[in-house]
Amino acid sequence: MKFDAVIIGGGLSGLACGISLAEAGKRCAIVSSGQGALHFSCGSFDLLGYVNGEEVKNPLETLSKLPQNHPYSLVGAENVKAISALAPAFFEKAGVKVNGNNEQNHNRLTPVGNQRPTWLTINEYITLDDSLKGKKVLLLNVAGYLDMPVKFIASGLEKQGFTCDVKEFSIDELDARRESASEMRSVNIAKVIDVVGVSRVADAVNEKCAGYDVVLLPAVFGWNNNELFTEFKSLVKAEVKVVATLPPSVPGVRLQTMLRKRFQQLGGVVLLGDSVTGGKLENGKLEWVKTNNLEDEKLIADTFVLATGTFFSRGIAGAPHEVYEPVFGLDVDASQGRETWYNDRFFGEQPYMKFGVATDNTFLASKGGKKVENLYVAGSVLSGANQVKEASMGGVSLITGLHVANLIKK
Amino acid sequence: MKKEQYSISKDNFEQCLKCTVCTVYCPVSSVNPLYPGPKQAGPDGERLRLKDKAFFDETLKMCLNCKRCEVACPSGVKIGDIIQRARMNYGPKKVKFRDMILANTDFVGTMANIVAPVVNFTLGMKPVKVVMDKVMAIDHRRSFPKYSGTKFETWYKRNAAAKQSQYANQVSYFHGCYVNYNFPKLGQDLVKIMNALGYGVQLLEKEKCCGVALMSNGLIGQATKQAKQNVASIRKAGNKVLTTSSTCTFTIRDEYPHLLGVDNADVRDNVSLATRFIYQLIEEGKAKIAFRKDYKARIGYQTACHMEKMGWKIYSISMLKMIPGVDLVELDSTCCGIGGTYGFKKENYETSQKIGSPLFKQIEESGLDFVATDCETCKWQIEMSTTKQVLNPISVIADALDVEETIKLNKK
Repeated sequence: MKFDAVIIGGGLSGLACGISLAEAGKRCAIVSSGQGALHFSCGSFDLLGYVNGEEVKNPLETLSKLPQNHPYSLVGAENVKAISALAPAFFEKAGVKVNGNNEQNHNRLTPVGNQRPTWLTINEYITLDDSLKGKKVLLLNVAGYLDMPVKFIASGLEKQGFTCDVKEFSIDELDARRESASEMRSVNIAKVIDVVGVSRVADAVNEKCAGYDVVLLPAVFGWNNNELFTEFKSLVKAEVKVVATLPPSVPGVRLQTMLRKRFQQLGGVVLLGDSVTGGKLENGKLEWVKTNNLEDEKLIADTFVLATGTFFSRGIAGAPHEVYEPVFGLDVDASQGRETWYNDRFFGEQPYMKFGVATDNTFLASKGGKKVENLYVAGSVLSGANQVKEASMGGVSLITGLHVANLIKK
Repeated sequence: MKKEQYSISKDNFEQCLKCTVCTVYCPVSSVNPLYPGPKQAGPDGERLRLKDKAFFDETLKMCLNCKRCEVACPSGVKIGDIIQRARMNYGPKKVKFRDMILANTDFVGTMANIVAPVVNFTLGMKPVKVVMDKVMAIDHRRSFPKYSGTKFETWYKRNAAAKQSQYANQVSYFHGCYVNYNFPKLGQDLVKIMNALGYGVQLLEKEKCCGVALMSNGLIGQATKQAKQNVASIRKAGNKVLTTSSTCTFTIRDEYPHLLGVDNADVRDNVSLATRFIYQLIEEGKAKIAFRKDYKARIGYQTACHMEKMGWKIYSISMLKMIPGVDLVELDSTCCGIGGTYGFKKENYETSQKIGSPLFKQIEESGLDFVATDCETCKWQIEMSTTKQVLNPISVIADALDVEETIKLNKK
C-alpha cells in the first residue's frame, strides 16, 4: 500500500499532524497501537505553566527561558506563536470549542481540586478565572459515582477562596447502573444519559440547584454527541460547568473520536489496534514499514512520522541498563547509568521524564548518529521536555505535530 | 515459589497499567450493569483468580468475546483472551443442552439441510418459537437463518469441481458452516470471482466447523479436536486457503493457538480473507479486475468485531471502493450485539438488541441501498433489526464484476 505519509501513533500529535497533512491533500495513514492519551484528558491543554519552578503568566514571553534542546526551542519562538494562535481553530474545525489564548494562562481545576496554569480548555469545563467569587456554587455529583472526589474538590475550591456546597442527584436509569460499583464509570454514565436524553437529567438537577448561581457536575455528558451538553445547559436553571473526573475522560474520548473522524473524512486511513513492527531503513532513508496485523503488507510512503508518545504509551522503553526507542532503535537522549535516571524524591524533578528520541530543528530522527531523511519525530516521544513539571502537556504534542506537518508540506 | 508462574503470561496480563481505556469500548458493560466490564473481568479479576479460583465470577459468561477491549488497549493486554481462558479454566464444566445445540453448527446444519423446507417453516412458526423459548431458552423474538436445501459442498461437487483444474493457479476455500448450510450463494460468488481472475478453487480434504461456537459454549474438547483437524487439512492443502467469514478467519489464525493451544504457526499465514487475497493480487499486479459500468449502490460498511481485531477492514473497504459505482459509507465501528450464538440465548436478548441499537439507527438514517459486512452473524442481526439487506463484500464484488472483461484481462 502506498501513502504520501504514514504516521506511527494516533494520539494528539499524530492526529494533528495527520489532519494538517490530509487538509493539504496528502494521502495519510495512522497506525495506532490502542487508543491515545486523550482518553485521560483533563479537558485542558497546557502550553507552558512553569519554568524553573516559577509559574508562567505569559507562555509566549517565557519561551526564551527554555533550554536549547526543548521541543519549543527547536520549533522556534515565532513558529510556536503562529501555530499556537491557530490551535483554537484547529479544534473548532473538528467540532470542539475551546477557551483561552497563548498570551495569558488561565487556571484549571484538577480532578483532585488543585489549581494549575493552562492554555486552552474545552468550553464546558470550569476554569478558576471564571468569576466564581461571591457566587453560590453547588458541587453536584451523580449518586454512586466514585471517580469525582467531591471533598477534595470542595476543600480545594475553599483554599482558593471559593465556597461551595456538596450534594448529589440521580435518576432511575443512573441508579440502575450502581448494580456494579466498579462499572459506575464516567463513560458508562454518559452512555446512559445519551440514551435517556438530557431533559430528565436537567429536571433532577433543577430540583437540587434552586438558589445556586453555578452548578458544577462531573464531566459525564456526551460520549458521542457534542451538542448534548449545550442542550443540557439550556435546560438547567443555574450556570452549568463540568469538573474533570478521574479516567476515562468523557470529553477527552469525544475529542479523540472527533479528531479521528475529521482525519477519516479528509481521506485518512486509521489502523487501530495495530503496531509497526519495523521497516526498511537503509542509506538514511525509510522506504516502508510493516505492521503486526497486516504482516507481509508493506506500507510504502514518501514520509514517515514517529508520534508514539512517552514511556506510558511505549514510545520509548527502559531496560535495566538502557533507554531505547522500540520501533526502529533510533538515537535517544538519556543520561548514562541507571542511577542517574531517578530522583529519590518521588515528586521531585525526575530526569527520565525528559528522555526521548533525539532530534534537532529539522525534527528528523537519527540512527547510529546518521539522520534519517524522511522520518520525522513529533509529540511526547521527543526528548527535552518534562511535560508534567513544566505544564506543557498537550501543547508539546499539538505544536510539534502541526509544526512537523508544516515541515513536510514545504 | 516459582516466580515465573506468576510473572509471565501469554496474555500480557502483567502489562495492564489500570488505565481504564478498555472500559470505554465494552459493548456489554455499556448497556448491562451486571457485567463487571473488561478491566474487572479481565486483568483485575485475574490477579485474584491466580491466587484462588474461588474468585471466578459467573458473570464472565456475559462477555461476548468481541475483543474490542483488546483493540483499544494501549498496552497490548489480551483482555478478551484472559476472560475466555478464565471461563475455560474455572467455569462450569457441564454444558446446557441448548448450548450444545447452538454450538454444534455442523451436526445441526447437516440434519436441517435434509429437511430444510420443513425446518425453515417450523422455525418461523410462532408456536415452535414459544416452545423453543420455554424449553430451550432460545429467545422467541429471534428470527433464524434459513437453511438451504442444497449444501454448498454438494453444489460444488455437482457444478464446479470438475472445471477447477483448468486454471493455472489454485487456491483452497474454507467455506464455513454458514456458506455450507445456510447461504451457498456466497461460496458460489467466490468461485465466480476467483475463476474470472484465473484461479481454480479447491475445497479442503476435510473441513469441520471452525469451532468458535463450541469455544464460547464451553465445549473445549470438541473445539480442540476440530481445530486440529482443520489445521491438518490446511497443512495438507499446501496453498492459500481463502475464507469469507471474518470470525472463522480470526478463530483459525488466532484463537487456535491462543486459546486452544493448537499450533498453527506453519500454516497461519496461508489463511487469508478472500478480499485481502484479491486486493493483494491486484496491488502486486498479478491479476486485474473489471467492473460493470452500470453498477450503482450506496453501501454502508459494518466493521464486524473480529474484523476490527484482525485489522483487515482496509482490504474489504478498499475492494468495495474499487467498484466505480459504489458510494461507500463507513459506519461507526461498533458491535451489532449478536456475538455469534450469544444473542440467540433468552437471557442475552435484551442486552444484544441494546448493544446494536446505535448501529441500527445509523443504518436506517444513512440512506443506504444495503449494508456490507464480512460477518454472517452481523448479517442475521442487522437484517432482523433493520429494514436493510446485508451482503458479504465478496457477493457485492461478484454482483458488480464484469466477468467477461475480467477473464479477458487475466488471459495470458
